[in-house]
Amino acid sequence: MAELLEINDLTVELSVRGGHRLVLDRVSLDLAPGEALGLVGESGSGKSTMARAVVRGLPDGARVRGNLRFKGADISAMSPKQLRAFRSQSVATIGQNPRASMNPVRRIGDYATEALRTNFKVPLAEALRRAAVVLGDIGINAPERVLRQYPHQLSGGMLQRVVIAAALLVEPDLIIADEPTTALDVTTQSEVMAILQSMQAERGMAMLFITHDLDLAAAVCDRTAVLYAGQIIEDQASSQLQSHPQHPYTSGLVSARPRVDVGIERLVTIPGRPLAAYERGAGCTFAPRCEYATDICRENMPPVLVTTSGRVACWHAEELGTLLHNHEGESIGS
Amino acid sequence: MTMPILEASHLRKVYPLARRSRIGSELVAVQDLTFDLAPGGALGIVGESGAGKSSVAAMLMGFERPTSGAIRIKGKDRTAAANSKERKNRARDIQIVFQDPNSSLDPRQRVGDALDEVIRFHFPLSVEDRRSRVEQLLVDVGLSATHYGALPRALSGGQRQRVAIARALAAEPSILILDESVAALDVSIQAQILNLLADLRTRLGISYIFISHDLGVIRYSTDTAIVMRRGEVVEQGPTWQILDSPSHPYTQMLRNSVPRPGWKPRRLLRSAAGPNEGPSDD
Repeated sequence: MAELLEINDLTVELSVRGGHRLVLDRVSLDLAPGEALGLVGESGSGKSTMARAVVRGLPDGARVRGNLRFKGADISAMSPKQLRAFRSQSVATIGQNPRASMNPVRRIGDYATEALRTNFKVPLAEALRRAAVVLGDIGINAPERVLRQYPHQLSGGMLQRVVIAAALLVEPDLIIADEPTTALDVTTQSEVMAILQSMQAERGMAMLFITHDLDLAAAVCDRTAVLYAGQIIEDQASSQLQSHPQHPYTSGLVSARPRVDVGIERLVTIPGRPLAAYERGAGCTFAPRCEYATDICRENMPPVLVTTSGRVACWHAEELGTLLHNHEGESIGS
Repeated sequence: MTMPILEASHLRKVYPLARRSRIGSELVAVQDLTFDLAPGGALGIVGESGAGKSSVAAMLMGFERPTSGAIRIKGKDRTAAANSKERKNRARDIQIVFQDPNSSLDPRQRVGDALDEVIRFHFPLSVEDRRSRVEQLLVDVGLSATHYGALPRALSGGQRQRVAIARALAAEPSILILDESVAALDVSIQAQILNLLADLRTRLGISYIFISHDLGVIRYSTDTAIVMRRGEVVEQGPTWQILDSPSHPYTQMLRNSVPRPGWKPRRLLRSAAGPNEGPSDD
């Protein structure tokens, strides 16, 4: 199948006080049309930089190597006009803080219809009508009234629904959602994710879902990739990733999270702290924190091993295979 | 039965609102809260934004005076907001660690000095004794004596939160309130801090009040829990029982909203299906 988004050997260095810091290191990732892909990482892993690199929204001074293609077209070679069309019509971005993306003195209707009016030249009345339909679709009561309200009159959860509705209105091929529910309460998160997922599936849009929450990514994405210090260390079908993690870091992430449904005597922790790409040494990025690390891990970068269910970057992936299985996760299917 | 270290009875906190507020003349932040905390026990207060969790913390700390109800700590009445004289005693009873160490640590104060300041205030110790006490505290929270001279900016987020915990422990309080103290940490760091807190509780016999929206954290770290919603207590009891067989529909909904293996996000049937607007939840 032809890929919608192809990322090949993407390396990004961001400019920091005169120098450059490595943030992403030879990241390769493909996204098929209609596919939901999770990108999981801790702070400093480079996950938000990924989102920005895709829409060529990196800060000034960033150095980018590698290849980004959308429907076969090289994103880095797009003319300003093509880039504008790509950003406004092919991709929609949903961020963490909906309030920050809205003008507080303009009505919700202005925000929700802006893309339709400016990019698709839809008349205001028609744009408002379409916006009301989509708001209704995602379960908002009295959408016409909401469109006349101001951002301060709505809760964060409601505003995030408005952002999703606005994203849906332009019928993009790809949604990039960067921690869209991190600022929301857990019940609101469930609601917002259910809306996002059903709309994404019904309308056949692809989604790049960026989060620190592995369980959340696995729940809404077909496939989940784990980013550590600017590298993808594992990429698998989501259900497999939780029950059969292949990389010690993924396995550590799964077991470090206290569970609501299982009483745990003591959490298994990953020692040390997450590193950023620029801090790492010659070998495997995770080696300093890994209980299975040997000399080869510390000295040489592991190759990417393609497995039956995905890929993993670990020298010991084959031996560790069954050792890392999360049996607890397997037994819970309800 | 041992005497509870902290007794809260019928705590109620009402804030007056601006005269023209749409939602009425007053806001009931906490309706009627009663609980006991055993020495060495750990209590969880769970709820979403607007539940009243932080108002409870403010009353227990003596930052706010309850509208009605009483707080007793070690048998002494601690209901009134602390005045400057009383605040010193209160500090030995109860301490708090907030979510964001960046805003609770002075960026220009060295880590060791921040701890020394607290020790000097509470204990008549010599310079050498204070120094070794600071170093001991740093080791207790998983840092080392070499961090004495470090400024907060030289530390990672997890290390800063360890400093905040050490500073709270410096006054040797009987009770520590952890107000979303691990919420902003990376998963791998959060697990380290939760284990550290569990060890400290065993070793020091200190009591905890965990204020959190995270049911996983509550399950792991507490013995008993209170579930709050918009100021009201909806459920109260042993943590495992509340989470394994929640009796209130709200607790069930809360629990069913937590991502875990095999979980799928679901549209929830809101009981208040009317208006869209509500208190801001961010």
